[in-house]
Amino acid sequence: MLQYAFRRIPPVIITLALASLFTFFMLRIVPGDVADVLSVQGAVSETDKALIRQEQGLDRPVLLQYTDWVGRLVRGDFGHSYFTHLPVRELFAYAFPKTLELAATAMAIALVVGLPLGTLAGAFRGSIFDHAATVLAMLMISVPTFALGIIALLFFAVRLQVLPATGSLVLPALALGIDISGTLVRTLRSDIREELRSDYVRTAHAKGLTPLTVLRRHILPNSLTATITVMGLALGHLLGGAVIIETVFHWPGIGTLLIESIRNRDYPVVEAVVMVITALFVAANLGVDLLYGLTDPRVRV
Amino acid sequence: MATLNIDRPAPRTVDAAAPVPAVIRERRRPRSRQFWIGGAIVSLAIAVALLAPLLAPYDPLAQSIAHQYDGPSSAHLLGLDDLGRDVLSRLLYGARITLLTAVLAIAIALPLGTIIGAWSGLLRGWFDMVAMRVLDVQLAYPGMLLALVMIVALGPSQKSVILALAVGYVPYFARLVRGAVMTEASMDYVLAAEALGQRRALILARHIGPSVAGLIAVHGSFAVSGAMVTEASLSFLGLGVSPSNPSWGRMLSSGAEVIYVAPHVALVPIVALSIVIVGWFFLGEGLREYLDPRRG
Repeated sequence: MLQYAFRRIPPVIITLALASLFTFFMLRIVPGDVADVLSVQGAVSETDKALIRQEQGLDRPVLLQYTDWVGRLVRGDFGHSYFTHLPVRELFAYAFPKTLELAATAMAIALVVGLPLGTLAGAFRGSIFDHAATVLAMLMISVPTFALGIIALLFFAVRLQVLPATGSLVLPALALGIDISGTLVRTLRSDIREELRSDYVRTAHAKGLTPLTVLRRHILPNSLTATITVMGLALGHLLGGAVIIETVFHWPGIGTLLIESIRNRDYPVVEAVVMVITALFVAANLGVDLLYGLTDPRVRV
Repeated sequence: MATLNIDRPAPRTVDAAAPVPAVIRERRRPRSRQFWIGGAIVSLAIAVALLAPLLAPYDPLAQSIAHQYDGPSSAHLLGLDDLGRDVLSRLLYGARITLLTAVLAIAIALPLGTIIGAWSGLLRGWFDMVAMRVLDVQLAYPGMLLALVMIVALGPSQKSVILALAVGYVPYFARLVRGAVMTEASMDYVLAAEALGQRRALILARHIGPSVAGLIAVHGSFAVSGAMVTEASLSFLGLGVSPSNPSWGRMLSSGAEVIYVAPHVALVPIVALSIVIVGWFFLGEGLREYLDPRRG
């Protein structure tokens, strides 16, 4: 297990290094640096521009700028915003808990909705309930999250006026949670159907266990792997800031921070946010892989 | 003789995945309801996009501020938007931009990914190594983030959206095809064809190709549905096509701003988007069920 974890580290580092190269150079080829951006907002003379570039180190060779940037990132120095001059780390410290709160609530909703629906649909295959759950799950997956969000907004905030349109956790979490639970239902359903056909289930029935006991003691623990996969991958996406949903509901998390800094062309913030999101995403994927070994002894990691 | 490896799996006596004789194939289930629903929605959307100039009752860009926010009426079936433009006409024209962007992106990504995947899966070796490492990185980069970074770099336009989506979907197809090709290539019938002295390219085209083609069709459908979501999201954020173009995502973002005054302006593009996205998704599911009845 530990050995496997160590073996997974070099590829993760290579991935992050290549991602940082991509991010940095993509954003460097953007026409207009900080000096240009600032000069649009107010009169900045050419000498001032040159001064700003010197101050920000933008007159130095690009490769050096890159290594400097990576060096600072590794030491935990994410740079400063062009506009507010606040350290990016502070912006992050404010936005990240907000995103975490949203992600945790969405995951909870997904589990509450998805677990029973998926389990029952799998256990009673071919029933009306199964068909209904299948169609529902497909709608939950394919209708885009922001559409769900805006429909929820229309219904609860505009029509019924029971929830505020912004600042409330409920609506964005609901939209995200429904999206994830759709995937969860589908995965669990097919997983349980698969398990039901297996020999150990037949043996358990033959021993005279009640169907409920078979489901609870034998099938569900084996379906844990599927649940963990879905939830782990979803967590990776959610921590990356559910960009659209946060924007729709003006939720001040990482997604909103990213979009705002893109609109302001606040590149130090954009670069840092993109890198942190990528790191979180990679970490979540790695976590899922490692958890397999704990939940399913057949997977030798 | 060098092509025959000793460590190949021993031939199985019954091979479930061997090509199905024509007699059995005839009795396959008819295409499912999902397939027909999805297919109908998608064809309707494409027809609407093609015929938009004939179908649209008004100019999608003509404004009449005096009637802004007017709800649905007999003259304007879906009402007017924040600038007094006919929502129905904008919806019909918007289908062009939204569908074209998503379909074009996948039309670029699909063949590229297929070629890379087939090459990797069939030849293995250094090409496979390099290609898979690069694609790994791309997969590690959350999809929406990749699109956002590329659009910031290239500037928001329809071209950049198509490019960003295409780049994002290449690894998706490449992995899919690589896996399928590798599975197929280890089948006994391929070994048999090889033993008969057929060339690898011919084996790929004649034997592996048809079974991979179905998979590509299924996932091509899914990918268009996913690309539409991303396109709409980008337009919603103001990072997609130019503001004057009536794309559905654009309509949605301007509708969301006036949601308290005129909810229909946001609701119309949401419903249209959802229906068409679900349509592509159903089409993919239906195709999958048709091609592989075991996994219904």
